[in-house]
Amino acid sequence: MGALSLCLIKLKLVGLIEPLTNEQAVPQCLSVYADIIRKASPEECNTVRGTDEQSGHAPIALMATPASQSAGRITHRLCFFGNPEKTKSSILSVERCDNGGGRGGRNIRCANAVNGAVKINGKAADVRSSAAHPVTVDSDDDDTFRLGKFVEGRLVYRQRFVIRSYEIGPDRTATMETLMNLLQETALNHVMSSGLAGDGFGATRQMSLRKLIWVVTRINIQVDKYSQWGDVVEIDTWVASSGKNGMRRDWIIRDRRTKKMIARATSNWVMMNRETRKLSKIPEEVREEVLPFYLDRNIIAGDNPNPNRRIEKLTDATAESVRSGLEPRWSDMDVNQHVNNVKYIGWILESVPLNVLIEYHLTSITLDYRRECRQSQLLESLTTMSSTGMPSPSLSSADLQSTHLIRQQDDKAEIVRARAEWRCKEHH
Amino acid sequence: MLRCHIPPQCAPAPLARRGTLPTATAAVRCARPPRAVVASAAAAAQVAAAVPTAERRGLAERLRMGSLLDDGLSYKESFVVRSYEVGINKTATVETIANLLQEVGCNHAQSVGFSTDGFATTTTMRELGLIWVTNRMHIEIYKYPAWGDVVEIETWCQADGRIGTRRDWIIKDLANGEVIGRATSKWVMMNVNTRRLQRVSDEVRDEVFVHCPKTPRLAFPEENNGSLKKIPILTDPAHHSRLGLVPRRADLDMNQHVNNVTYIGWVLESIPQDIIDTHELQTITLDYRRECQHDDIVDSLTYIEEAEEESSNGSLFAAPHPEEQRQFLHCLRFAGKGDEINRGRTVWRKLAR
Repeated sequence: MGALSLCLIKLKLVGLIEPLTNEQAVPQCLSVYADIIRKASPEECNTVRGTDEQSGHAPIALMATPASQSAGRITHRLCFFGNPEKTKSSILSVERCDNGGGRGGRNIRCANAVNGAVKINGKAADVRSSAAHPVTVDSDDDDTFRLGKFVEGRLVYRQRFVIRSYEIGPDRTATMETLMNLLQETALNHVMSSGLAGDGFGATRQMSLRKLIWVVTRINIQVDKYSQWGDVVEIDTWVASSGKNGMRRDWIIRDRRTKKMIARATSNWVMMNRETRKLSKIPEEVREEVLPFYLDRNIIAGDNPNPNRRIEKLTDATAESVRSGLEPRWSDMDVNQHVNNVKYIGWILESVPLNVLIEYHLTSITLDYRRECRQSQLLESLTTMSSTGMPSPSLSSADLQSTHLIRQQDDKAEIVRARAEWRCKEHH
Repeated sequence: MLRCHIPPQCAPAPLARRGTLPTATAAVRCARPPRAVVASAAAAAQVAAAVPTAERRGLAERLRMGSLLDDGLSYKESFVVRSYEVGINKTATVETIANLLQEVGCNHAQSVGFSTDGFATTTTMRELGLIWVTNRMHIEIYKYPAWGDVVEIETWCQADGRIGTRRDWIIKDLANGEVIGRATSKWVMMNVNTRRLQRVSDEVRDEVFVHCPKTPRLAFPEENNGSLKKIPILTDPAHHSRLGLVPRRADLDMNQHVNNVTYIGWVLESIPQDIIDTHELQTITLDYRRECQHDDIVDSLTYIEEAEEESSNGSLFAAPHPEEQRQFLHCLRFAGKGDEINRGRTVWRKLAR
């Protein structure tokens, strides 16, 4: 192992989870094999934090792993470890690799690498090269299942996606909903891969203990170019603090083929108690958890003189069109039994005049989430289109701007405010 | 009657109600009449240009982890279940599964050289003005995958009778190779000019089926399996219904028609909430009859279907299902007792909570 500059050890854990305590099963179930991967620089390494559950060590040094799959995710199949030389501590272990969302998950008591020797639950593992599963890992390939990887140390998380046929809309490009879904997926994988994940979707361990969840308050997405079926997009994401009790998450979307940025987004989050539904300050323990992951880099605010410019609240008097009777389908609900964030974009676009949808590209949309929506509510969507007379927050100039409101039909309580910008299609 | 793929040449919907179109039995009824259809070399060239460049295809293919099997007769691809594809049960929804089946079918067609405009046609088909239309879709799911699970889907197609073709899928959990679902679908070929069903001629057959198994291979080989069961016309008043469903723009596919998968969602809309809370969809069968577009309004109707049991003298009588299973028949139709769009059957199994 010493000869390898960076070593990828895959533990083939298929079917072996249960008998890990069985002494005989241990060497048998370890088809541990080492593959030499490219001579990656440490910056390209994935990092996982873990604790040694058995000895109760505090969170130990960050462990560099070379490949994109990290222990917090889909790890009932594969676990990755890095070259122990790269680590600061002599003992590495990863605990509780379970697949977050599933029923019960599948726990793996994983391995310790002590000064280069790999042990599984204390038993020495036979590390050898195996030709049985050659894996060519080159710098362009993600791991086999397209999970992301950390870049820039451990601060930026990157993931690639192929645009699927059903993510394409009637104008033959990926829809804004698709992009938002992919942003959400990257964000969740970021949290999972950081080893921070608690039991919820995106909540950290300390948050789950306190029944806290992240709730998005605002998101702004700017799109320069929409992808087509079969395009590969690469999404980078990172987090930063936002005020005293908020968090900001930013994304960049790149076309993998042209390497150009095609979209970017920024979002603001606050913490809420999932039972009382009241906002909460960030507890000190959570702050400690997330602080090492903060990267204070702005992707949109830099261009934008006033990113938090308030969005006007439309009324029946000021709205050009109102569409009522919008009913969430049961497939619109997320795991928390609330209308999925992304669905609002669909409803907003429903009330935009058809000629706008056909003749213009949606270049920017800002959503201001005011209130949650449970399924039983009927909703209304209000829209006002206006030509640009106002300063444009996005880089490229817009031909049209629009303001939107989604509210509950019965008591007119507002759910989401939005502002969008449009550019005529011929201008490309 | 069949669902038809209306080429993008169609005019925007007239405001006139459906039902005024002639009803030749062999013709496919469309929701709106097409404009002049261009079935010429120009169109073929246009379609060919939509095929991605080799470079772009290479990048996507590497990421997709999908490929033809060695014998070239079937195609296999793996997918990770994404977080937003998961429903309230924390498992993938049936719509997600259906989307993946559609995706892998499209990727298979593309990998053997069919067009990538969403129609999956061969060169000869385009010259003859032929397109595929879906007739029936049958999906059985034994175990729903969770977020982060990897499913491997294998698909192949083969001839089905003189005018039809079928596409079958097998869905496996990649971790343990367990079969977690199966599906099959029936397609027929239609001439866009005459809007009539057309037999698969030998030259088309050679082009299309060169990549298909020669000996029949069925995802559902067992006799009298659910994919063959007829779905009767539903005439009684429905037990449950959800009226006034409207296609959203997000429901439209790249050819401006309501996506196949949206119909599944509409069928589920009229299932009573207590079934959804306590049961899991095990099987869904849909017979496609008419097409639906953006400004249509749809009613979703559900009828409880009793099981059939044989009594001692051999005659069938209706009996309630075992506690663990519920069965429904469905009808999607244009609002206000309009024409049928789809017929369906769903079978639900009780969730072990």
